[in-house]
Amino acid sequence: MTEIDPLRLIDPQCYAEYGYPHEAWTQLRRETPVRFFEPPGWPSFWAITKHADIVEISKQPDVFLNGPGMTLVRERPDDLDRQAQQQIRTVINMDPPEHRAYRKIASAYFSPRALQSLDSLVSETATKLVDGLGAQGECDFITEIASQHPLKIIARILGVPESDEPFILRLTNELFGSEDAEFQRSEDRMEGMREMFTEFWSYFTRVMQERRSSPQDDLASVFANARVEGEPMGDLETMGFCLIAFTAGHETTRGAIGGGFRALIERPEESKRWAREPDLTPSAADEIIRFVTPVNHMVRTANRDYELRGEKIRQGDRLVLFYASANRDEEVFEAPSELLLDRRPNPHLAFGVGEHFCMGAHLARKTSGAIFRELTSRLESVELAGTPERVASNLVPGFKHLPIRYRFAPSR
Amino acid sequence: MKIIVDTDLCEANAVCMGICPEVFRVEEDDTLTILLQEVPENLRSQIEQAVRLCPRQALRSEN
Repeated sequence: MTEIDPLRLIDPQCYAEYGYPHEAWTQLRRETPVRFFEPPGWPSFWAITKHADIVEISKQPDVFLNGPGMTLVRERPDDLDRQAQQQIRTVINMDPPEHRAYRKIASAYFSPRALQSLDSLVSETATKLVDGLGAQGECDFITEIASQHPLKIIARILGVPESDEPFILRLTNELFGSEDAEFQRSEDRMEGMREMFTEFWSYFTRVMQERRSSPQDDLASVFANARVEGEPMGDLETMGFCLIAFTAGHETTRGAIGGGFRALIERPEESKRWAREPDLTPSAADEIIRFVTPVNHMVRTANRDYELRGEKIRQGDRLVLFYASANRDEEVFEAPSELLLDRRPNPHLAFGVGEHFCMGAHLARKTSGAIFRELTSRLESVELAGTPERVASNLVPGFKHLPIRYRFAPSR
Repeated sequence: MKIIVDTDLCEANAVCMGICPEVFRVEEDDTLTILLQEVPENLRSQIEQAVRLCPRQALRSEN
């Protein structure tokens, strides 16, 4: 029995250097699936690694709360991450009954039926992006494709002009890459984060004001004019929706597209199969999302004592739900480490489950499905043209650079 | 077997309808209709799968 170093599970630098800790998770699932850790410099936590346990916890939002904190952040003298998490109120850090009232503001816009109207936008955007690469050459797949496609889709849904997309991308990179030197704007991390939040705040305050004076047919107008129990939604909550929609709404799908394409580069037979059988797209896109699991974890805090697999969780204890581990659980998935494009059913937890199930799940499937269908149908050859690099993050540890050399057939 | 929907949780993900269209129908306005009040025994395994796979965990079955 090898001793597990908890830093391997949570330290952003470990993710940048080695990727997801699948070996450690496999061992934890086998030996101690509910395991308490007290890593130096980090808050203590229970590592939850089994699919069934994550479902059990997620089904009880009255016992396992989101309010006290949604992700695991390092203990710092400046305590800035925690403060930042508490300053803006998002549906991710609300609990029922409040959570239900706020979630309803946006949820109707993301049902499969509501999203049908986006089909042509999503596939046309995919075609244009791949056209933009030309017949052959080299590029950074992340900056050219993986981050662009979901960004353009979410920007259109929200009603942000194309000229503001680079600004939103930069903000997202800084927010999710606050532990990554490439994305930090200043030597002084605290100063950098303050600046970022000020910019974020003033940009979206302006957008919200515009949408209040002249509402459009877009999601930004829905946020700007939302009412909760008869009262206009507060500023902190309105900003919370903007923050989630504009940043989490594409960063995560970028992770799925980047990680998925890397997996397809390593599995040319699967890529060819997808090209031959485009009807595989719904199950294949979902399998990519399971395989990559862009959102690595979320945190819950127990609001009473609770026994889980014989372990005594105490009131106030933090539980880290490692979705990427649950999605390789041998008790649920056959051949969990393999990418099976026709895997059905696919009860993965990449979008969470229950009360906080990802509102953008169908949008993410649609967006990533469309770009993979476009890519695989036109791909003549692809190989790595350099070393892939991951973002230093324990939350969305996807690729930030994926240099490729490619040949594409022209658009159908 | 009877099926109970938590309408406060259901968000019309339509996973249940995909598994068992004989019993579940998501309407034009994204509400869920249970088509059979008493579910026949031969649909039991499909119902169990639908309950298990509901992304919002909004379904329950009762005997």
